[in-house]
Amino acid sequence: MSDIALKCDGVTVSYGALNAIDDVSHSFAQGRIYGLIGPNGAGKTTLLNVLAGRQMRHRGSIHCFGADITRTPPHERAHLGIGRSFQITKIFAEMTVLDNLRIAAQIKHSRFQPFWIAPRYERRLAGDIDAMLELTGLSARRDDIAGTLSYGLQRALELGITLMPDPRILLLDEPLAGVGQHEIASSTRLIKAVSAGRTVLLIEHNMDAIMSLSEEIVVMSNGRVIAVGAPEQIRNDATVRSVYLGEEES
Amino acid sequence: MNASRFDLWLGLPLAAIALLLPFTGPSDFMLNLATLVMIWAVFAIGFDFVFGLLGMVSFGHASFLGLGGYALALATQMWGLPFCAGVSLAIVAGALCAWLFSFFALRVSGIFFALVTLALSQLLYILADSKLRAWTGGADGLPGVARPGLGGIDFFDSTLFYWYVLAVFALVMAAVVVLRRSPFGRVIAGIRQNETRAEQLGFDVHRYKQITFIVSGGISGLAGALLASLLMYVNPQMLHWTTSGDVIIMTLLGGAGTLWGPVIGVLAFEVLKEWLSGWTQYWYGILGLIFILATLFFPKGIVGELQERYGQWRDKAARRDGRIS
Amino acid sequence: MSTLIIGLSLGMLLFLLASGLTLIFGMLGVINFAHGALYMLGAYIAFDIGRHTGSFVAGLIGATVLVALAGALIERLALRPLYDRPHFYQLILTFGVILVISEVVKVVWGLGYQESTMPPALAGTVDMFGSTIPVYRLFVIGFGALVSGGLFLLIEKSTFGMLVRAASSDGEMVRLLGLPVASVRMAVFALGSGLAGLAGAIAAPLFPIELGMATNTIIDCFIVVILGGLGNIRGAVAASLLIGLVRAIGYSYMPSWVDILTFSLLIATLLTRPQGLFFRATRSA
Repeated sequence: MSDIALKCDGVTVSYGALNAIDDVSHSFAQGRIYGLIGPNGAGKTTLLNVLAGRQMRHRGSIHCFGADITRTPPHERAHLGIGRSFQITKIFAEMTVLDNLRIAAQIKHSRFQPFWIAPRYERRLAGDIDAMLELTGLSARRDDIAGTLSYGLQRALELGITLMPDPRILLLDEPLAGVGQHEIASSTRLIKAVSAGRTVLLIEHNMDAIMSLSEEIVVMSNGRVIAVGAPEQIRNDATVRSVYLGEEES
Repeated sequence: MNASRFDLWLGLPLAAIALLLPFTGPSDFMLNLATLVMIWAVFAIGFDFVFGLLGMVSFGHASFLGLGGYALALATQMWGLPFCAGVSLAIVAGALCAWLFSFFALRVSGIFFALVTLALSQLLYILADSKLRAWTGGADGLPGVARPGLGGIDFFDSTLFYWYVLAVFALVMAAVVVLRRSPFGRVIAGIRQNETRAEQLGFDVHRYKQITFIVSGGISGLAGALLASLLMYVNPQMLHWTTSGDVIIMTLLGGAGTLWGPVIGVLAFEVLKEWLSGWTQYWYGILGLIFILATLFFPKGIVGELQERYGQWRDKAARRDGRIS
Repeated sequence: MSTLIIGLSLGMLLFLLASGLTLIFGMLGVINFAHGALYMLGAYIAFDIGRHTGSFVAGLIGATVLVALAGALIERLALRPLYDRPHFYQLILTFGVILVISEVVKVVWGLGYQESTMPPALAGTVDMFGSTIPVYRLFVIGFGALVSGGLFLLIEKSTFGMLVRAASSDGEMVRLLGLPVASVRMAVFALGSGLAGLAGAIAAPLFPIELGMATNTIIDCFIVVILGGLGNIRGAVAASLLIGLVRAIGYSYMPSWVDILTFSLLIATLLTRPQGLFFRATRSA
């Protein structure tokens, strides 16, 4: 069973009488890229929150590489290799780009953070930081305050921070949301590149992007998984067309 | 880099004044005032660890200050320990109390954090005032708290005690500079700016907050010991929640989260107080009014505003020189 | 029996006091640290009006109206510019307001204690259920019940109440509908402050009037408001009566433990039921 990266069993999240997620059971195989689609309110982000540990009040169980993580807090899940990016950018807005990535590098290198000025420790981080600046195309902006970057660059930084600890599982919540039209192609390439060798759960409303990135599509509606399959298969599925694609065309 | 040069420019004249003051033939009153400012500044710096660095409003810091004071008083008077041991005990007492508080207070956030810390510290105040009277002297307090003794130097002399406090203050300042620039300090700043992100990266946010709270409590305990030593007296008023209110005012006035903000805030508060009380007995109310106006119009505090101006000025200068496109 | 009456009257007084605080929090999201100071101001004003006119009722009305005006002024000048800032700014600002109000009181009435006299009509005692009970205590209970009833009607049945509830749940929406959010907020703050003033006027004949009221009373308010659930008026009624009775009983059997027990209960509540003792959670999952 070790080729299963993430597995949820009977996961249900309710807000009062409403079930945001309704009895979802699904296994995500290691090294595959999953696209999570569905209309607004289908429960996609809630599912990512459950997997990342942000939403702990749910029924059912979660396993990560065979270990039960149902009660594991978010920071421990991060150490198990779960990385998460957010739909609403979550970066350290008052710090420089460099410091944003530096904090992320710190958690990769040590669980203990020195109380003193530690030049040797900082030097050990430098290689990883430079590589990530390169990958995300932020090298020229390394000394800019993160909050002053353009939206597209903030999304790139968000991805960079998420990738820094080298997670085995990537939960990406609408990485292309708000990215300018001319940057979509390059952002898609970046996501493709960093997905290699990782298990990826991707929420995205840009249909072209998600169909080209994903190896398998999971369709959600009203908190349930209603269809699973390869992108072409999903495109031609009548149920999916009626609840989702149909809705989008109307 | 920008901020640290600003801190240096601000710190140098302050250091010069602090070092030269004893040689200008000041009155005992002047020296005691300066000593008081430095002690309260230590308290405000400790408080700002939680307020400025973590962004949490604690109304419980009076407890750490007061416990520090009582720890020194009890250690030197009841148990006959030397002054240094008493001060160490005060730091431990403040830290320990913060550790205990953290189990309750860190389970909640925002306004509830303020209310839980307020409730806990009032509970301690009531205990000190009533149940623990045998130890605390009740409302009368404990007079005759010790001054440091070091190889026969007479620290009852205002000048010598001033030097002692200045040395402690400088040590605390140095420790704060180091901690703020350390990898640990960076994580703390990150937690304030985006807690969710820090947690999702894998930082045990609760643990970091707890450690910061404990360090803050320890520094406050140290301040409490020094204050008790300066006044040669402790009473439960040090534990009262309004003491926490005072330190919030001072820190916000100077600029929360900045290096020199708490220090400048205390200095401004004490100087204003001396100056106002010279011409009106209603100084506390006027101070309250000044504080309200400052909160409304200069929410970043004196140092925060200055730092922003300095930043703008530097940007403009840099642009003029064509260094930034 | 008299313990019960004392407890109930204490509870009603606490409710008058805390209802304003919880109202302001519920509607504006502001914790008003100066609530105790407004209560103190009410007591001083009622005392002074009573001394000059000899009328208890005039004191009651005067204190309520003047303190409500003071509240409106505070909201307009100090709080309105702060709603968009982090919550702690409001919390801290109202701490500054305490200092100012205390100083005003010091200027006008001096540092010493003031003793207000009982209105003659209510000064006597009656024999009920085999014990002697001061009439004023009964008056406090009756008056408190009246005011809390009026408050419920105002909030849950009147147009004003509806507007207030709408503004508190979605201020932006209400503003878009062209309704005066700013005025509603000011009115709520004035109403809450007025209640504090009224409580001060009612309390004036019972306790010595002094400056410590500002900082001590607010703690009592917090206890009630937290136990009852922040912003929950029904909870505040229950919590006030509970605390009133606990105090009355406690003071006659184990006086030195009352405060300690109250605070322990408070802390326990904050930790286990931050929404208040009487909050019925709609459980999810």
